[in-house]
This record gives sequence, structure tokens and C-alpha cells, in this order.
Amino acid sequence: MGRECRITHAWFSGRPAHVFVLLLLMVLLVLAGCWDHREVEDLGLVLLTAVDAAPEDRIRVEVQTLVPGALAGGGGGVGGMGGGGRGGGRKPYRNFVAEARTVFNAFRQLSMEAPRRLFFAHNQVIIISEKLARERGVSPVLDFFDRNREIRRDTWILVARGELKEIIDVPGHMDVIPAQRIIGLINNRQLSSHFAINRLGDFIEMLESPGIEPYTAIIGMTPNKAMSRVGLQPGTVGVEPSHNIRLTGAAVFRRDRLVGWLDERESRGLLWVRGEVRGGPVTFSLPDARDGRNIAVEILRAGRGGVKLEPRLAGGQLSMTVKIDTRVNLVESQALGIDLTNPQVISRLEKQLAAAIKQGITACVTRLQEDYMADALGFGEAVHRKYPRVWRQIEGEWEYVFASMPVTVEVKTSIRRTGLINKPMQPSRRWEAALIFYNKENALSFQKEGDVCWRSLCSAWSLSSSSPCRFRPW
Amino acid sequence: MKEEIFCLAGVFALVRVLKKMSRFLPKRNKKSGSLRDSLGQWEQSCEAGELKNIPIRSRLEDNVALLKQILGHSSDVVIREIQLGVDGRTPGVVVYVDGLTDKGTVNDTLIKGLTLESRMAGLGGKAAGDLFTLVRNFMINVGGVKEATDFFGLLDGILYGDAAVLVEGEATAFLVSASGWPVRSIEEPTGEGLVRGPREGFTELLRTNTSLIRRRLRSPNLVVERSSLGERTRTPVEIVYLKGLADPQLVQEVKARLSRIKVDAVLESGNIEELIEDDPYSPFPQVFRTERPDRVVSMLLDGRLAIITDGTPFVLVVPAEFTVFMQSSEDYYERFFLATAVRWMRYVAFISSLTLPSLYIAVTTFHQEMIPTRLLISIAASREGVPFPAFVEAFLMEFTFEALREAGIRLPRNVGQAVSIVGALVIGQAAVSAGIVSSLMVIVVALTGIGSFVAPVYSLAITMRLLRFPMMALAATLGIFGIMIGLLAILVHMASLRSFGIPYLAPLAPLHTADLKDVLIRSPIWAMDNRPTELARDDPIRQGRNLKPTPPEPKGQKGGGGGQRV
Repeated sequence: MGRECRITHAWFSGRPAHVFVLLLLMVLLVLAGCWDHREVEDLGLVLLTAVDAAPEDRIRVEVQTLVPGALAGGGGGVGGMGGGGRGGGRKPYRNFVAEARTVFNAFRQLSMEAPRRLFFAHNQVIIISEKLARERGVSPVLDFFDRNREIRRDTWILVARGELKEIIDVPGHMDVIPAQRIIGLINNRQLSSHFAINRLGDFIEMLESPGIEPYTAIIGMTPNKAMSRVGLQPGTVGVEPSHNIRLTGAAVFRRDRLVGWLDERESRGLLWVRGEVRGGPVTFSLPDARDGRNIAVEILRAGRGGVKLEPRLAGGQLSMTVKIDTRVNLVESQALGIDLTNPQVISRLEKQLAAAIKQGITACVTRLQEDYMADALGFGEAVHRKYPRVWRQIEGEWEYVFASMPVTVEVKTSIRRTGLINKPMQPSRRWEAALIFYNKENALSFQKEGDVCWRSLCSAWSLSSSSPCRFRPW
Repeated sequence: MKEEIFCLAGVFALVRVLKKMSRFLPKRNKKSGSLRDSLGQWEQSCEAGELKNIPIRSRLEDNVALLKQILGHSSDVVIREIQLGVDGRTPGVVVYVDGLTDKGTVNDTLIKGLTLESRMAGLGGKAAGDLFTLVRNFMINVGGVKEATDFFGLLDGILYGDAAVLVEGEATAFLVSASGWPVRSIEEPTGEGLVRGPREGFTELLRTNTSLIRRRLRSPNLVVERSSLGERTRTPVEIVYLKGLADPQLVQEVKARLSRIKVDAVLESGNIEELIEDDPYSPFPQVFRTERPDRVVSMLLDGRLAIITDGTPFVLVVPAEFTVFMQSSEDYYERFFLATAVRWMRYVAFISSLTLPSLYIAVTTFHQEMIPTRLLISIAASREGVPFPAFVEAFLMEFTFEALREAGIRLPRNVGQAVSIVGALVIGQAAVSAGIVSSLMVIVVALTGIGSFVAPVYSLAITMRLLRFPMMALAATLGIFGIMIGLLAILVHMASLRSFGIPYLAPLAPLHTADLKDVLIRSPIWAMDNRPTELARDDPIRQGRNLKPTPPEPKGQKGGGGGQRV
């Protein structure tokens, strides 16, 4: 140790080479650095890109860029007040449009109008117009997006139903920038599971895979039903926007062409088969309930593990069995009398629920098979995995095979929880009594307890009709 | 007399002085000369080497004359003549520096004992030799008595605060320990405050400091070795270590490095630190310093050495590897959960105080893709209208912050508050609303500042403050790539450092898995069974095994091992 910790003398004394090298290193930094330096304030942050078909085989590109100055006063908040702060009523976004024969050229055309260098790394949504998707196909457009290094593969892709220019300029007070609003809607997708959206990367993979056809959600504009005539009169604080952006259903492609739409119920079916249902409501009713009293459940992540696609080859005929296993929470029961503590009741409900889910899936499958002949469900991939040799033979005519394929759907559900209240609501005692009779008649739930109920009901009644003592038949 | 002086070869200047002095001998009572005289004397400075060669002579007159020659022009030197013995015939002299000595000790004990009490007790003999023995054995009623035979020793003692007693006919002087001067009392160290832990801190007085250590470490193996550093300041410096724990080679090395020091002045332990550290060009501190005696004791118990310097409350501890600077003594006083969490926070703050401004620069000028969209929008909104590039902006704010910090330290406390108000306004409000910097940059600077305040030892915080700026330049030129280059360079440099033979990144590189118990986590006291691997090699085991407390076993089962019974 003694030798090691001997004091070393100044390292550059008599050795100026080191100083020289150090200086050289600094020069290196200065020479090599800074070339790709760009300040945030010089960037035009593109939040949304829309592609449309233009006349003469040209492509019309529309980008939505952020106007930071309009946000600066509002404390930098994004979803903050539109008209508030220093922005003084300025829109916090600006749309630029250009037309050209290629997407890239259109982008460079934009640079002649946009004062800041457009920066696409934060582009979160690509919207393709129905016209372009239907008539020309999306692959010529997507090539650029897939190739460009600034554009991410996790960008959401949407198909617009309606006028693109208007959809991306729909005013709103919450999340003033339409792109942000669209992202918000996309992030809520699991609350409804009614639109089947895909990311650019997944979409392109589906496009290139022979065993599945691409699909993605539809973006549209709906009239704002909350807009009232009163709110338009002078003196109101703000006017309700006339339209809302709405994400819905699914746009189904065959190869790269749009072939049709799926409505919300069908796109839920699509999501079920794709294993992408992670939430959302299912409403069904008991067949013997009067007035169609509805029961709503919330799906608890079915996930990919809950779905099994089992192709079967028997006698030269391919068939498909879709097995779905899901867990739900019961969140709403308009059927007031049912006893949710009774396992038999629950299992009856589960069967009904399974039937309801199955209906949706069947509807989707039928629509895809019969109307669109587009295998958005990925049955081809399942066949490919299980029967690779057969697949090689039928790959070329898969559309037709798919369209004629018998599909069986098996749904297994289990209701896990029934919410904070076990018993359904008790409207009032008289109603209760009537309900109990009603339920007794229907032999639904109170086979054993019925007598007890009846007796206690009578005793309660005999006390006083306004007695504070709470009636507990169970 | 002259012959004797001539015998001392090579001291011609002094010879002349003594010749001159012998002419002034009769005017003994003249206290100090005129200004002209003193100017004349000033030219004759006394070098330590020369003084060592002048013995104390048996003639009191000569000694007194020489003392006056050397010290006489200073008004605070007191030369008190007394008559010793029952008959009062033997002249003696008590010499001390007023202000360095305790008046009570000198007056009541020493002089009284020499004169009045000895006479009342009837002490005193005819023979001078007897008197000398008597003086030593009976008349000086003070604990510490040393003897000096040359003028160097004599003056050394006087200037350290001893009272010298010279007796006619004796060539030896007594140095009676009577030092005492107004000192700052033991206070809580302001630089290293704790919530829980002893409130005592070191003071400027060396002896108090050693006592603070000894009062916590009553081991007979505690060694306190004295030396003086600084040719002119003659600052007392003491090495403290535990025999058996501190590596003898290490002790040897520390002594060697200290003895190498040939400087004019040692005014603070920082002077010593710079003279003994391994790599003087490193921005990293390689010597630990603390004001807390408990910290020093705990480090001594690891097998380290403490170097106490008189005149400063900052005690140096060597060797000091990097992890030591990230530990606070409170870590060991609070329960280990909190201590571990705090230590994590400290590391995070340490890294963020080094890299946060540079990360801001790099990410906002090169890697806008990496920022979450909403954050980027916020940044873009806050940077809208800022005229400077991010680097200039960051540099400006960091500079302002450092300047304010320095101003706050230097200014008197009541003005310092005004500075902080101005600073808060300038940094926080005015700069942003004037559009010179973005509001996010203010937050970055504030976080950086807080991060550097979190460092338990100021010296490491200084390192971070310094390294931040080159890191910012790297980030501004090369982005995150530059930050990585900078961090790697720092890491490589740290890995190459040594502190008194201990690798600077000691438990991490080289990896000592057993020592990781005290790096990122502070394991419970009952689990810290061994001393650090690099230190205390002779005695690695700190404590008994199985110290983890458990409740006593139920009565049915016998022999509750490790159970705590009160």
C-alpha cells in the first residue's frame, strides 16, 4: 500500500502533450457537435397527419401543428382553456394542407407555408380518408410512414368517414387540440370496446400477412346533442360546440383497400376474437324477465389468453371454433328481484351473458364472411399455425375458404362480483311483496325462503306501514 | 560569553545581535523599544534552525536578555521577575504571553506557588541545585510541566501558551502548561446539522477536539500523536487513530505525507488536505472532513485516521472513498428503513444535481422525440418567445443561481435575507415574465440546487457544482451522447482515483459484496458485523453474530436463543 499511495507528481509537468490532447478533444467536441441541434421553439410539432385523395392522382396531406404561443399564457397546460390566458382566443393549433404526387413531396410543400420545421416524432394519429382507402388503397401512402424515421410505428391509424378537413377541426373545450382529443378517445377505448383500432406497425403487419386482413377504427363527426338553443342566446358564457369527434366501429380492408364498415356491435365481436376486449359493457336480459329488464356487466380483461381459435380439418372441410373465456363484474341490474347471492341465479345469468356475447361475435363473423370476404379475425393465421401444409395450398384462395367456413363460437363467462349491494334495490314494501310473489310465480329464486319471507313480510306489515324497522326477508 | 557564541558556527547575525544586546543589558527594565528600535530588530528574524542551536544558559541575565531580544518588542509578552527561595536571593523569571495563558493559573497557582507559598512553607535551600529540584517538585503546582534546554523549545512553549520559568544558575527552563484563552464554546456544527444525534461539534481548540473524541472512545488503544505544521504558524496538528484497527502502513504513510509538508502557514485543515491528497487535479474530494466528533469516532472505528488541526473545527479523516461522502452520521442513528430511503434519495439527488441541467439541454435541443408529447407541448409553450438557446438559458440560470448562493454565504445574515428575496424574484418571477428564460428552466435550476444541497458533505456538493458546467457544454454539443461521454469520463476518473491506498469506488469497484451493506442500503446495525474490507484488515470483525433482536420464546420452549430479556 505504501508504494501505491505515494503522492504522484503533477501529471502534466514536463508533459505538455497531455494538455495538447485535452485541447484537441475540446476541438473535437466543438467540431463534431451541434450539427443536428434544433431548439424546441423552432419546431412545428405535428400532432396529427391526415391523408386524402386529391384529383389527378395526387395526394392531399393535412397536418395539425401545435401553436405553443397560444398555450403559453395558460400555464403551459395542454388541455387547458382554449380562449384563456395570453393566447387570447387564438387556436392552439394550426392546420396546413398541401397536395402533391407523393407524401414526401407534400410534406416539403408544407415547409413553404409552415414557418417552423415540421417535426413528426410526436405525430400520434394518422387519418386516412375513406375515398383514398377505398379507391387507391393505403399501401402507397403507408410506405412513406413506415420508411420515415421520425414517424413511429405506434402511431394510431384511423379511417375517416366524412369530410377530413372538418373532422380535424371540430372545436372542443376539453382538449382544445383535436389531435389531443382523438388521443383521449383512443385511450378510453377499453371503457367501451366498441371500436377496433390499430397502430401503424400492427396495421402494416396485418397488411402484409396473408392470414389476416387489416382493420382499424373509424373516425367521424356527430352532431353534438348536448347543444341547446338556450346556450346560443346572448349572455351565455360559452357556446357548446356543434359537433363532436366520435370514434366508432371498424373499417375493414381487403389487402390494402377499404371494403366496408363494422358497426359497434360487430366491432366488439371482432375485438373478442382478436383478444383485445379489456373492458366495456355487455347488456343482456333474462329471457323470462318481463319488460326486458336489463342487466349490465363490465368485462374484466378477457385478454389474448381468454381466446382460443381452434381450426379443424375434417373431411376436406375447414371449420373454426372460437372459444372465449371471460370474467365480468355485474354492475347494473334493472331486474330488481333477482337474488344475486344465489349461485344458481348467477349461473343462469352467465349463460345469458354468454349467449349475448356469442350473438355479437356471430354477427361480426357473418358480416365479414358474407359481405366483405375479409378475414380481419385472423382465422388464416390460426389455420397457418395448425395446418401449415394445408395453408400453403389454400393460401391463394383464402378469401373464399374463409367465406365458406363454418364457425362455431363457444363462450364461457363467469360473474365475479356483483357490486356494493348484494340485494337488488327495494322500491318499497308493497312493491317488495308484489315482487316476491312475482318471483315466486316465476320460481326464480325464492324456493326455500319464500315461506319465511312471506311470514316475516306479514309480521312486518302488521306492525305498522310506516315502521322504521327495516324489513329483511333474507 | 562571547567565546561561547563564537563556538556556534555560522550564526553570525545572531552574534552581532548578542553583542549589541550585551551593551543594553543594564537597561533591563526598559519594556519595549521605540518604533525605530523595533524596526531595527525586525530585520533580525529568528529562524527555527538557528534557535535550536542556542542553548539555555545558566546565567539568567543572558537568557532574559536574549528573550527580550527575540520577543521583547511585542507588548503581549510578559517577563515577570521573581525571587525564589526562603531567603529570596535566587532570581527567577516567569515568561508568558499575555492572552495565551490562563491568568488564574499563572497568577494564583504558578507565581503564588513560586513566591509566597514556597516561602511560607519554608521551602528553599542554599544550593541552587536543590532549589531547582524544589522548584520542580514543590513550587510549581501545575499538572503539565516540560523542560526545555534550548531557545527553540523555550519559545515554542511560550508561544503555544505555556509559562516558562527560568531560574538563575540553571540551563534548563520549565514550561508550565498554563495555556488558556477565550475560545468558542462547543456548539452544534452548523454545516452538519442532525435531527437525531449528538449536538456537539468540534471547536477551534485542538485539545477540546481530542477530548471530544476521547470522551466517545475510551479505548486505551486510541493514539493521539502530535506534530506541528507550518514553518511560521507552527500549527499543532494531531494524528488520531486506533492501534490495532488502523493499518500500520497507513499510519506510516499519513505521517510520511504530513512530514513532507514544508509550508509557511497552515491556517485551516484545507491547507493540509491539499498537500496530502492523492490526486491534486481531481475535482473529487479524497479526504473527508467533518465537524462532528461522533462521525470521526465511527470512522476511527473503521480503521481510519483523523488529522486534527488547531484553529479549525474541521477534522480531516483519511482514507476517504466515495461512499463515505454519501453517508451522514444520522444514517446510523435513525432506524434503517428511513436511513436507506434517505440514502437512495441522496444518490438520486446527487446524480440529478450533476445531470439535470445537461439532460434538459440535451433533450430539448437534440432528442425531442424522447419527451412525452404532453411534456414537450408544455416545454414548447414555456419556451415560446425565449430568445436564447437552451444551453445559454441553462447557463444563465445556473450562473445566477451560483452567484446568489455565493452572495448569500458571504453577506451578513440580515443582508443575506434581502439577497434571497431578490434571488427568488429574479430567478423565479422576473426572468420568466420578461421572457428571458422558460419557467421549466427555473424548475430545473431549483431542482439542481436542491439536489446539491442534499449532499451530506459540502465538499462533494462542490464537485457536483463544478462538473455540472462541463456536462452542460457536452450536452449542448453532443446531446445525450455527450452526457454519456461525460459520465463515463467521470466514472473512469473516479475508478482510477485512490485515497491513501484505498480505491475511490471501493466497495463497488473493486467489488466487495460484503461491504455493499452500507452503500445503497444502510443495513440494520445488527447486520453490520464486519468492518470495511479495505480497512482494518487485522481485525475485520466488528461485533458478535446473531445480534438481531427477537421477542423471547414462549415459555413452553426452552432456550430462547437471541431473545432479548430485559
